[in-house]
Amino acid sequence: MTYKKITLVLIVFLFLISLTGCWDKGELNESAIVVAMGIDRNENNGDIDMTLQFIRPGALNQQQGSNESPYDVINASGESFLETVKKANEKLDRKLSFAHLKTIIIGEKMAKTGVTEFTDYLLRTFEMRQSTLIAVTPNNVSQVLAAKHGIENVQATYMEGIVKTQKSMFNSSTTDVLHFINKMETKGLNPVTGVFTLLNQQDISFNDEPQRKTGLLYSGTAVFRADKLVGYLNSRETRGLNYIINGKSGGYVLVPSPNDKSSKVSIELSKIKNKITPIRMNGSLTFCIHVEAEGNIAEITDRSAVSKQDVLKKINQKFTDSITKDIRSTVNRSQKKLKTDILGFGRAYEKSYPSEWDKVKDQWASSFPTVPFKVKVKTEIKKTGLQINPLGTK
Amino acid sequence: MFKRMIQFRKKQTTNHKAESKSTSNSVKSEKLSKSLSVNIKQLKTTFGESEDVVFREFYFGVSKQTKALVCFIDGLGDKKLILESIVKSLMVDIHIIDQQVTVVKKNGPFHDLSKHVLSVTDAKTIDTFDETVKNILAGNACLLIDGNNNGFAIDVKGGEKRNVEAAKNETVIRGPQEAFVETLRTNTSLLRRIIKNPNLIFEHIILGKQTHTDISIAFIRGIANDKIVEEVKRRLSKINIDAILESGYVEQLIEDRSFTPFATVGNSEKPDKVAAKLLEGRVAILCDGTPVVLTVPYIFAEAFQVPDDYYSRMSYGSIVRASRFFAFAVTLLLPALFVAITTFHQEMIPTVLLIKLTAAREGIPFPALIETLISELIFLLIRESGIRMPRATGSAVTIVGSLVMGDAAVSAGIVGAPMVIVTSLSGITGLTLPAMYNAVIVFRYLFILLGGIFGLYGVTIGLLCLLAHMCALRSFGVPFMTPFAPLSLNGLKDSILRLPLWSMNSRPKFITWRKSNRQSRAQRPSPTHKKGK
Repeated sequence: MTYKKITLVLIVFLFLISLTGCWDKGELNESAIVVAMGIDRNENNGDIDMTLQFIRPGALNQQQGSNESPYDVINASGESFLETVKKANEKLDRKLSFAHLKTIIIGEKMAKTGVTEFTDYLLRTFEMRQSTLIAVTPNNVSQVLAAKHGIENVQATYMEGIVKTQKSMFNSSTTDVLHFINKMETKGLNPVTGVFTLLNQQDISFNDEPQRKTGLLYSGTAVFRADKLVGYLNSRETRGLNYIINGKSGGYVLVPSPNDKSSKVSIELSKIKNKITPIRMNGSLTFCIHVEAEGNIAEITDRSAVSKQDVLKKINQKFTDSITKDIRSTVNRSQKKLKTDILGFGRAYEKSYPSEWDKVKDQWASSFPTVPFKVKVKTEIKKTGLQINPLGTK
Repeated sequence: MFKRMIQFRKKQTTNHKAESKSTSNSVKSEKLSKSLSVNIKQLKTTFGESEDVVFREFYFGVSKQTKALVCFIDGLGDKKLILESIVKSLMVDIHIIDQQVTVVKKNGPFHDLSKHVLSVTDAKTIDTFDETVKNILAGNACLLIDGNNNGFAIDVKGGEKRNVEAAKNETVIRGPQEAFVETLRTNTSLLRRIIKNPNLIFEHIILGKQTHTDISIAFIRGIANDKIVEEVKRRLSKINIDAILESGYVEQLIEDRSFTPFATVGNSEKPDKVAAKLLEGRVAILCDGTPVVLTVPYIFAEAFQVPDDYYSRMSYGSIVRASRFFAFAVTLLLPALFVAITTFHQEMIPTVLLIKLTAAREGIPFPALIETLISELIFLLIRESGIRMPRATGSAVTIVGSLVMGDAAVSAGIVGAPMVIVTSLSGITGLTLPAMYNAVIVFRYLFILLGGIFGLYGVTIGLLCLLAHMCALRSFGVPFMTPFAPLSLNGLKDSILRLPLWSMNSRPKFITWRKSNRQSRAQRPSPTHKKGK
């Protein structure tokens, strides 16, 4: 009996070996790893234009040491995203694999007409990751996916690197697919993304490689109302936005020196704490933006003696003023010009007064532009650097 | 068909038993004759015309009236000892002795010979023909005297044997270097030198119908569990085969389960290691002609224990011990995980690594599964040829092996460079656990197949099955996976980590089957008490 069972099991295993072609099996050298995707709307017929950037591993094989480009792009257009992807794959000798997609660049035209279609495809397709970065460009999408200037040899990694280094600055916004869709679907919140713009790197010359003269700049913010792009914030306004919604540190503030208006004091931000509290008083609603900031003096261009408390207080006051001004301009712009609640006023209201929120949430988009707000900024200068007395005072 | 085979086998075994019984009975009953010439004749017919059997006949006694025979096998006995202690004593020295005590009376009896004349360490009286033959074969010299129906079996064992040398396979940095040799008596003495205790018992049995191999069962009375000792003896007594050429024969005939790649009988060539196991309550089986001693019961965790762990300080011992468990996982699973992840789960690897792997796999003609199997097989063969080859061709194997595998296969684009790394990693880590190699080599291939067919899902299912199998194993009544399953907190002190010696107060309960302390508590080194106290 036992012998029979053992033989049976062995036979079953032998048969299994012949079934090695499993449904989701994919050899590494049979798939094309897509690392960046650009989408835009065709101006003429409204179709989807897609640019896919994929790795060419053969060029990265160091033993063969070729001068070929380690990546390549493929363009396709179609009426739906799936169709476009399939059409792109028709022109390629390997199966497209999206598991390692790093960045999605959305063209301005696509963003303005709405990205719901696209986010629907993203969420339904199991291959795509929700941690993929998402960014908007006002330039031509396929040109953005071709612009490369830095150290990395794959363009997608170059873009990813730029985003990573900019994360510690306050001049840009960073969003991944998950957060973008969350904000898009939440009432009382609207998504923002970073912006890639083409940049001519005139200052560094590569005589033999003309395509390298264009690089990318990751700065500013693209502002959405629900799924549609409504406008941009410049880098100054982005900083104001980051004071309100981002708790991270990094970035710098330039304030005029207390002694000499033309001189500047640079303060490096080391800590930001923020909170939005809705205040209901006598039936009227006011949003209070609390920001606590800490910074260190990094540079003083005149001879202000920061060892003196009153000088330091004056600088701190300028510091407070500067942040307040930035915040005000951002809130004003999002209320008056863009008319979209990217600051999360609605979300804060919902948290504090859930029952009141239920009554107003459907009209929130129309009432947001007129809600009053207050800005309360508290700053502190922690360190003045290694130098106590100003130089050049002899 | 199988049923018929089993029935046939049963019949055969009963036949064998009957046969062996009849032969032993007929010889045993035969007593030695009073006449020396009859005995000589019978011995000569028994040994045939074997040239290595020496029959030395001589006369002794005061007036040289008594005829005697010394029979021994040339090469097994110490010739000098036979000459000095038996022949010379009887022929020359007896005259001096006989002036004081009358030992040799005409026509015997000669019982007093061993007390007064034979200057040897051991002389037993024998009275059957069977005993005489067995003693001669065992290397003793037999003294038969005319007119006497019993003789003496005199211990003159000597002859050629290998010296005790440093261990070749189980090397240690710190600790005794000596290893067992082929001679049983030397091996028992090596153990006795370590454990100077009257409770260390060696029990002797002879196995092998043709070879009559001496086997010694060693255990410490009072520490080893009597039931385990009984079980070892029972299983050994059941053995009835022609030859025991190596302890491996014994191992395979007494182990709990044959159809498992895991060994349930341990072995070692180091006396200190075997002594440590005896002191934990295990039973050792020593076979003559084998420099490897078996120990039972044998559990999974023992494969990871090395004498160095105990001789070096705790921190190092623990780290190395834990790393061996890691090595086990690597050697067992690394190729399988590599195949599974690269063929099914590419999204699991960091992008940069994936790109590197893809670049290395460009232009490789085989799927990852086949590639892995090929390179694992080549590694296995290189290892095998390294053991089997004549020493003189060693350099050729090394050059061809490293060049073919490491360099040429990669640059020719047949095997990818990451594959070579994976294969050599799993191979090298496997060498840290020689005791587990047996099981690892089987399951590694199985896991590669599972990984290549079903991906990580298959590897996980395979691991679960493997764990279930390991938990089902037993060795002489002890669960193979103790102290992990069933859990023994006390046993865990000496498993993945090696805790300080002063904390391991009791012997492993899963081997001794009762609580027994090996040392007093509170031995943790600490400063002497303060003056105030």
